[in-house]
Amino acid sequence: MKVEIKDILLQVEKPARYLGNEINVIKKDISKDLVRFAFCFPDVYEVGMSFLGLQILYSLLNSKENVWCERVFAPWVDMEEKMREKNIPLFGLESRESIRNFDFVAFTLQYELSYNNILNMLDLSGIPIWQKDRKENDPFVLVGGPCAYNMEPIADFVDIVCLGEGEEMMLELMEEYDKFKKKNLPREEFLKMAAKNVKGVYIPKFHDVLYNEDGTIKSITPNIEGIEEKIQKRIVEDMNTAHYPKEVIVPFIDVVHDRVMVEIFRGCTRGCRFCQAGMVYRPNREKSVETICNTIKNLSESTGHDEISITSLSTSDYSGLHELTDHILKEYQEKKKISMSLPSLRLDNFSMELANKVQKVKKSGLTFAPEAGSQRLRDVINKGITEEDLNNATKKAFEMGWQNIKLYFMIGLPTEQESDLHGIVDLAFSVMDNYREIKQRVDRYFNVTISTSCFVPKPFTPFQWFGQNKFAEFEEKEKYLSKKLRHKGITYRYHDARTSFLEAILARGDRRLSNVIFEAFKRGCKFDGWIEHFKFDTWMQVFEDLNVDTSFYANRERSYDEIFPWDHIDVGVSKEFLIRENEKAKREELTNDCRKGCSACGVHLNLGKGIC
Amino acid sequence: MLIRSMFSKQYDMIYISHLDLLRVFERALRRAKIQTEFSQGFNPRPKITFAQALTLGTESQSEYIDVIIADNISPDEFKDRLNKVLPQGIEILKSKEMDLKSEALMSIVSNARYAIEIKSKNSFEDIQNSIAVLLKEEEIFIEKLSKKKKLQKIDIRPLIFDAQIFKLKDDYFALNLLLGCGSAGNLKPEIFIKILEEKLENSLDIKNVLRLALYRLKEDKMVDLFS
Repeated sequence: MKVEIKDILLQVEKPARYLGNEINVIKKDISKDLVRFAFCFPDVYEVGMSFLGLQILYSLLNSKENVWCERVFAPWVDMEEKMREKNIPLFGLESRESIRNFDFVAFTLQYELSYNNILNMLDLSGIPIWQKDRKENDPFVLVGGPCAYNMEPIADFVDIVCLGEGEEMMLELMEEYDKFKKKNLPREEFLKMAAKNVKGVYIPKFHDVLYNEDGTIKSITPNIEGIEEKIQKRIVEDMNTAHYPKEVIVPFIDVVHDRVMVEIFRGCTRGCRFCQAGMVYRPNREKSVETICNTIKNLSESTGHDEISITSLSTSDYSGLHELTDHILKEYQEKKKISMSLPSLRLDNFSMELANKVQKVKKSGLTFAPEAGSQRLRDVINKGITEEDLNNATKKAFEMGWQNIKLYFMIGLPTEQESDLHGIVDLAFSVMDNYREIKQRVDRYFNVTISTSCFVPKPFTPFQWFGQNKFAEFEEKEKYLSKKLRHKGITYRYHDARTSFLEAILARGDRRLSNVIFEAFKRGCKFDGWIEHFKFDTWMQVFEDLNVDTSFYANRERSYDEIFPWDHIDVGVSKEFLIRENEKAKREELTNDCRKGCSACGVHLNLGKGIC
Repeated sequence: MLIRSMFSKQYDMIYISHLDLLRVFERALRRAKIQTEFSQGFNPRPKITFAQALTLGTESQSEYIDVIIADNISPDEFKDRLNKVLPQGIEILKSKEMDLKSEALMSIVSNARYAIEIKSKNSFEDIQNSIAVLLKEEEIFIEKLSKKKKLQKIDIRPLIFDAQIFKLKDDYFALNLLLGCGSAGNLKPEIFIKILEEKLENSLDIKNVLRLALYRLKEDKMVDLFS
């Protein structure tokens, strides 16, 4: 039965968020054998539709005749209010049918602050929020994505976790489900079949967690036969043959990234010590220029987008970048006025020339990410950028006609001193000096934006043992920078420290946090990533009422022998390597880029054997 | 080459805003592989213009779009190729080549005709009488926020050209309105309904709003925008 939304659409902001009839959506005839799959993005439409993974998995799952994958986003607060008022359950956009009766309700975990939206969406669907309360006919609640590597804080709400890349795993899981359905087995059996037969599948309820008296973890062990103690993530070996859509959905309304997105490689060889993506997406795997060009052709023809974005963790590192960008500039930018955007560029000469060609007319602004203010601290985090690189790049940018430069930094990195903070200030003023040198004066067109975010230690990084700065410290540092960066040509922007504090708690949290998350949801917390909806005080009250110590999770320095909530998950990178890197960080020693020599992170032994 | 087209906007597409509609056409043109001319400047845009923006939620059988194309294709081919790639709910009904020096759609449109389905507790005669009274008045002032956020009094009587009521069934009625539309003076049908409600001292439940036609004035006659 379809939900009736016609009457409420005109009462909400941007009704096109809820239509499900965009160009290239997939609709299927409903039959008894059709597996119904809800791909849920726990944030608003505009954010979710900018996520490439959604488009890949949507196309992948729908390539199977007997599976219909639909999209579901968190309804914005105005829509939720109307839905609750009229008892309209959360529905799949394409079918407008309640997802209550679907086979799978899958959430992608892109950031920790969306966890409450997951609970809210389950509640809106009428699906029991706690995993233990689900009955035979309830959907299986599935999660995947980068936060799935430590999804323990929401483990009690989830049936199935898919670790790593989904292209092969999801199809195997669907095949397993076919077998399960034919045999008419109880719900529990499917969880066992998935855990045993599909590599990369983790079923939280099949692992027991015991705690020490001091609150740390004593052990994490399987509680049924035939379950591996450590579950390894999945990767796609050959990116050239991996599934990639020929058509993607084209939104009607303006979304965050409204363009053709083409992935050029996975992984990153740089080894920045703060970066979770750089660790968990290993090994590095490139697509060939030919594969990428074919994809661009397919997608630009089937969507009509006017912009092509090539995406990866570090665009400048792609070995075929020269050839690829030449092709795009010639065939698309010049001939068809389809522009190119290149996120994640580095400071090298070629990248600068490239940025110049791309932004030939509109020099909107150039962004660099030195991440730390001093050379010492950049060595600690293994960010191989020198002050000289930055000076060369900014001078070159000013010569080419740019006037606005943005620099990104993190504050609260391990070993940070006042002198490191002052390094940020020095860099800002040296950018200004470079402008003066090129243009002979600093005019009103010049601006340098300094942006700082608060460092959040993440699992599976060399800094996973590090206690996050208290948010009072962050605020003090922000105050310091605000004062020192007060200048006409400088704009200083900083991130809300309270958000990063909660993020740190959830990122390294364990199963005991599920009660906190549930209670916060009960008290109305949702859209925590949206500053206008973030209820920090409510969260803190919940921690206090439930007697959960926030500093235990966020600010505590851990020891190397502590068992972490995510230690039964294997992302390929070994704990020994992370310890080695953490020690090198303390000694301010750099580690090679993978391409210049293997640092034996562990991936080379198993997942990346013969690949990286 | 300037091609003027009339199109319908129905079903779910009534929820697509005017700004988003521009993007829908830009992309459809690229999917149809129709090359357009581009504007000059820092950010070249395809040369596309519309007549009068349609309120979100309003259906239409007669929207207009001008596209200056670089290809040499017939208006019929233009129409067919676009219809193949436009989303369901937007359909080009007619395309015609116009003189490149034609006046802009926005500046020529003068009137719009609407068919509005309403539900009312009032009788047919009640509504008919109220409309008659309204039409006899020489001026009807409404308050409107100006661009500088000041309340202004505006006489909308000159923008009401005709209004008729028809009985559909039970308490459902159809209003047929001919209103001023365009840069010289624009009256949204919802405002007319509000004034009618005041006269009736009763609220009307708007079920559907449909723009039937857009007109321009040529030698004192209302004609379509192809003329």
